[in-house]
Amino acid sequence: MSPPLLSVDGIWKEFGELVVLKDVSFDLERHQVLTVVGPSGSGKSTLLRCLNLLEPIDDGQIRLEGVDISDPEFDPDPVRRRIGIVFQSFNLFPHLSVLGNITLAPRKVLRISRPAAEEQARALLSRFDLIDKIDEYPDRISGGQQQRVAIIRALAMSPDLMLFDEPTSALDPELVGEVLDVMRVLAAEGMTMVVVSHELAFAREAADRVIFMDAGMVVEDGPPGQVLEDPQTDRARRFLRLVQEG
Amino acid sequence: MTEATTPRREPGISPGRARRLAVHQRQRRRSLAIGAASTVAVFGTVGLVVANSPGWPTVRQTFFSWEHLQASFPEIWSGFGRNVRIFLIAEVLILVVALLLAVIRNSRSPFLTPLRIGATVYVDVVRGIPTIILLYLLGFGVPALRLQGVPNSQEFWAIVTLVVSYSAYVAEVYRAGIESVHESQRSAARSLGLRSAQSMQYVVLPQAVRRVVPPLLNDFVALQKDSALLALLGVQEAFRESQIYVARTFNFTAYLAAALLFLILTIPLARFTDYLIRREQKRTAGTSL
Amino acid sequence: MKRTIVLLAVLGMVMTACATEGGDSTTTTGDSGVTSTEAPAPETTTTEPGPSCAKEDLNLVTPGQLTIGTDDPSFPPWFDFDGGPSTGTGFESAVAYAVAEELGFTADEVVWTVVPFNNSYAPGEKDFDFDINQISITEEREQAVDFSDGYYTVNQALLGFSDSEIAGATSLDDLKGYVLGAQVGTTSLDFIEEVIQPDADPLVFDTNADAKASFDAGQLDGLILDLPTAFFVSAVEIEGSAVIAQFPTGDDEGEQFGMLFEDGNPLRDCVNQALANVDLDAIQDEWLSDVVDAPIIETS
Repeated sequence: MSPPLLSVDGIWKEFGELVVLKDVSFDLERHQVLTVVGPSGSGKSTLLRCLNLLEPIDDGQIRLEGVDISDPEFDPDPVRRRIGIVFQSFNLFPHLSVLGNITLAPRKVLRISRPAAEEQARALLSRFDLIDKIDEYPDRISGGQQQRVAIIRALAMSPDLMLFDEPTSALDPELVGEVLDVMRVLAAEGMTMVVVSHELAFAREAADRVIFMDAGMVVEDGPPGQVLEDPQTDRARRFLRLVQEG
Repeated sequence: MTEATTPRREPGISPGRARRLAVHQRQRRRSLAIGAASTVAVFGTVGLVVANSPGWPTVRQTFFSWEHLQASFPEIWSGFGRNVRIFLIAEVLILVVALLLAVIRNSRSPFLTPLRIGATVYVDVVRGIPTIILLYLLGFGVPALRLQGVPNSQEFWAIVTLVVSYSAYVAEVYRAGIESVHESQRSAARSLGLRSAQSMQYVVLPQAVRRVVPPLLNDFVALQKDSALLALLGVQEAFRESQIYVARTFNFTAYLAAALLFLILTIPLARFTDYLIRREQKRTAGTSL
Repeated sequence: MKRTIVLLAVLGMVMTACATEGGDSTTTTGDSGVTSTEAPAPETTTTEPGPSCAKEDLNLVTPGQLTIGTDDPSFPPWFDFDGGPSTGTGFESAVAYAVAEELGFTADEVVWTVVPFNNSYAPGEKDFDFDINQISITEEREQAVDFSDGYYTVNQALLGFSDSEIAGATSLDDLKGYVLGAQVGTTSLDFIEEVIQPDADPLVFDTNADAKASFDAGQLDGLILDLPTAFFVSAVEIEGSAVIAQFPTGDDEGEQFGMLFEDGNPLRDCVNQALANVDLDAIQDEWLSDVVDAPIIETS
C-alpha cells in the first residue's frame, strides 16, 4: 500500500516563547479534501506555511509521498513546486499582467517555453471563465477575479497538493461564491487540498475530512458530518455555534 | 420576484439638473477669474515694485542683460554638451553599480560575506565625503601617480567621481525600495518554487525599482547639476565658460544663461517624475500589500 | 500642470527682463559710493598739489592702519610661502612695505587680509586699501577698479616638462597643437586665447594650484604663467619642469602689474606718489634677479 500523499507527524512550531503548533498529526490521501477550522490564533495559517516549507518546523516530520521534506538539510525549492498555496490576500504580482503572473513560475522554474506556458495559461483561464482578463493588470480586476487568478497561478505548476489559507476571508460577500466555485471544481476533479476556511458550507459539501484546531492542537478530526454537526468536544461545539450565529 | 428596473431617463435635462450644472459652471468661472486676477495683481505688483526700485537698472544690466546673454550663449551652449555627455554616461553606470551594491547588501549567501562588508563600508564612507574632495583625489591625485594604463582624461575622472559618489546614495535608495516590497510578495514567489535569486530578479526588484523611480529621478537631477564639477578639472563646460565670460566683463548674465540651460533639463524631468508617481500609485492601489 | 504654468511664467518674466531695454554691451557697476572724508581726487597721477597725502588724511578702511590684500597661499618670488605676506620676504611684499613706509606707516601698522585672486578685480566695495597680487593692469579691469602705476613689467611664460615634446617649441605656431592651461580670468588665459590660439580648447582652472596639479599629473602639455612664477615653479615646485619660453608683449610698456584699488579711491594717487619714491630696481634686483633668461618667442 503506497504511503499517503501527505503525512504530518507530531509537528511542533514555536515563535520564541509562544508555542503555535503542538504535536499536530494527520495523514492525507490523494484526492482527499481536508478543511481546517478553528478560532483565530489556533495555528491554522502557520500549519499551512509549514506544510509548504515557508516556515521551518521545530520538531516532528512532514512527509510527502513518504519522503521527509521537513529535514533541515533538504532543499525546499523543488518541493514547493509540488505544493501550491493560495493566500488570503491573493499576493498577485502587481507589475505583471494576469498572463505574466501565471506564466512566470512555469517558465523560470519548470523551464517551459514561453509559447507553451502561455498556451497552458490560456487554457486554464478559459476553463475558469477569465480569458478576457488575460492582459489586465491585477489592479484592474476585482478581488474575486484576483483570487481566481491566484489559484490558476498555483495550478499552472501542476502541483500534487493545493493549500488554501482562508481564500475568501478578504473578499466582499458577493465575490466569495465565484472563488468557492473554482475550489469545488478542483475538488471534484480530484485535486488533493488542504483548506483553512470559515466557509462551513463548503466544508460540508466538498470536504472529505474536517480538522478542528484550537490553541495549536488538533482537537477534532473526522468527516464533516461528524465534526461539524456533532462535535465531540466542548471547544469545538462552542466555536461552531459562534460561527454559525455570525 | 420581479427584477428591479433601472429608472428610465427622461430625454433632455430636468430643471434640477440644469440648475446644478449652471451653478457649477458659474462657480468654476468665478474661481478662474479670481485666480487670474489675483495672480496678475500679485505678480504685477511685485514686478512694478522691483522695476521701480532704485537699484533695478543696475541689477537688470548686471544680471539680465540681453546683449550679454546673446554674446555669452554660444560658448556656454557648446560647453553644455560636455555636461550632458558626462551626466548621461555617469547616470547609466550609477544605476547599474548602485543596483549591484543594493543586491549584494541584501544577499544572505555566506559566499558573498566579504562583498557585503565591502559594500557597507563603501556606502558609509562615500556618503560622508564631500563630492568635491573625491573629485580632487581622483581627478588630480590618481593621475599624479602616473600609473601605467590609468587614463588621464578629465571627463573620465569626473565620471568616475560622480559614479563613486552617487552610487552610494542610489544604492540606499534601491535598498529602501527593496525593503518596501512586502514580504508576502517574496512568500508568494518562493511558494511557486522560484529560488531566492529568481524571486529577487523577477518579483522583488522589478517592484522595488518602480517604486523608487521618483527618488532616482531626484538623484538624477542632482547629478545633472553636479556635472559642473567637471570645471574644477579644467574642462570648459557650461559653468566654466560662463565664469570665463564673467571674469572678462564683470557682467553676471552669463551665469544666468548657464543656469537656464540646466533648468531646461531639470524642470521637464521633475514634471515627468510627478507623472510617474501618480501612475504607480494607481497601479499598486488595488493589489495586496 | 499648474506648477508648470507658473514656472513658465517666471521664466518668461526673466527673459522679458533681459530683453527689455538694450543697454550697453559692456557694463560697469554703479558708483561704488566711496565715502571719503575729503574731496574726490582728480583722475591724474601727477604729484601736483591735490588732497593731502599726509598719513592722517589718507582715505583708509581702518584709520591708522594700512590694510593690504593678497591671496592665500602666497607664493615666491612674490611672497613667502610659509611665513605669509607679513614677513617682508618676496618682491611684492617688499614693494608693499616700501610703499607703506613712504606713506608714513610702520611695519606694525600694516595689516594683511586674504583676497582670492578672482574676487580682487571684480567691481564693488573693497575691504582693503589696496591689493597687491600679480594683478595685471587691463582696460577691462580698469572699468571696475582703479590701479596704481605699474611696478613690474611682466612677460607671460610657458611652463612645460623639459623631456616633453613641447620643450622643442620655438614659435607660436609650434604651440598650436598642444593642450595648454591657465587660471580663469587671468591675462595668461587671454594670452592663450588671443595670441597663441591653440587648436584644442585650453584647460581653465579656478586657481593656479589646480592648474599646477593638473600639469603635474600630465593632463596638459604647457602652463602659461607670468615669468617669475613660472621660474619658481620650475626651480622649486615641480621637478622636471622648465620655462620653455617667454613672450614679451608688443606694447611699449608691456603688461604691467599694478596695485588694485576700489573704484574712485583717492588713496590711489597718494600711493602713486609714494611709489615714485621707491627704488623698484633695487627691490627687483634683490628678489627677481634669479629669474632666468628663458628663450624668447616673439608674439608680433
